[in-house]
Amino acid sequence: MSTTPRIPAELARGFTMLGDGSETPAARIAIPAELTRLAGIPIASDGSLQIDPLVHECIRLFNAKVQGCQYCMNARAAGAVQAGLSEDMVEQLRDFERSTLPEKVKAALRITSAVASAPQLVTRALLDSARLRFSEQEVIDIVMLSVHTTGSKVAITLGVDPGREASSRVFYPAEGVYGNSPELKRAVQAMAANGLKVAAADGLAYQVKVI
Amino acid sequence: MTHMQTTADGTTPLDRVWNTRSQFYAVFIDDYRRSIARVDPVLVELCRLRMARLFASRVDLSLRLKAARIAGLAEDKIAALSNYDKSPLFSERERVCLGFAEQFALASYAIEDADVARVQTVLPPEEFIYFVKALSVIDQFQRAAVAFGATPAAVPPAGMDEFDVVVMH
Repeated sequence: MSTTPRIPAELARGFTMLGDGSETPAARIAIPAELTRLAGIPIASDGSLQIDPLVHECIRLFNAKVQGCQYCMNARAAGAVQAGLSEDMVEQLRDFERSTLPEKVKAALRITSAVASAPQLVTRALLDSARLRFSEQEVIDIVMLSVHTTGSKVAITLGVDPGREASSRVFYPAEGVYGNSPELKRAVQAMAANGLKVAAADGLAYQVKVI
Repeated sequence: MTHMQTTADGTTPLDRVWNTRSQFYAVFIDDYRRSIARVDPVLVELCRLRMARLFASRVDLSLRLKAARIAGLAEDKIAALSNYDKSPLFSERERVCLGFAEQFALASYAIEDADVARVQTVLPPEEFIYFVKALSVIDQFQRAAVAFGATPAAVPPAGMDEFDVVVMH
């Protein structure tokens, strides 16, 4: 894993974790912003995967740890924090089977772990076990999110992971980094209408334990 | 056939799962197509098929990239992929890239500076960037296909017009 570029600086310049549609080499290889939105990042919105925010974040962070993405490992979604995420939970993710994490989270991470290590391990039995806690669509969405969150491999391999210095905080869904799609705007408005904090100015008292 | 119980409409078994999130799939497969198109077709096809064997992605093993066939990739070379490091059918460039593709698929977290440097002796930096991105989308597509337990069909999955289907024996 590397946050030191393994490619010439002029090619690494302008790399962002989400694509902005421009045509530089760095921009071309970034994950499309719309794909990230449809993965339910930073929050579920119209047409996106629809996974419980706490489960969603645990899947994302589990894969971040597996891939070794410093930036991803040290980011926390405001929605997940407000759904009950704690740093104690985050610490237990890699050894989730022996953890005190909720059973629903464990059921999801069994799928994520299998997808990340050897997808042949996603058997009917594993999926049937998940079906005791999730709807069929949620099981499909968990597989899709588990796949999507392996995408940081590109940044890590190229050595353009922005690093822990660029994250290590709570990320709010109203932040510009997620783009301005109308679907996301509506979802953020709905979240705010439900009394949840959507912007940094709202101020969540949460300390990220930096890895 | 797939492992999934609730499916949408679609021509292939994999489509019938992906179409439960059709917008996601549309954006993903567009990124997939753009990404593999930026890499030498024979090289990307060899790596795709080697990764498909490692993951046991039956869907991927049933597909052949048309551009690679047009560029001269024949089935005897594909059949020799399991022995790529020794077979005379493969160039040094292909061997290095195939080795890297295996590493990317199986243990990307363990890729070291020396591994990247080795590939950049056969691929210039910009090509290497696009090569890594192509490996990533291939990796993701295959993990999903295998996790969903999808079986091949008589036609490629939706949006994969660059591929033909081959009959597997």
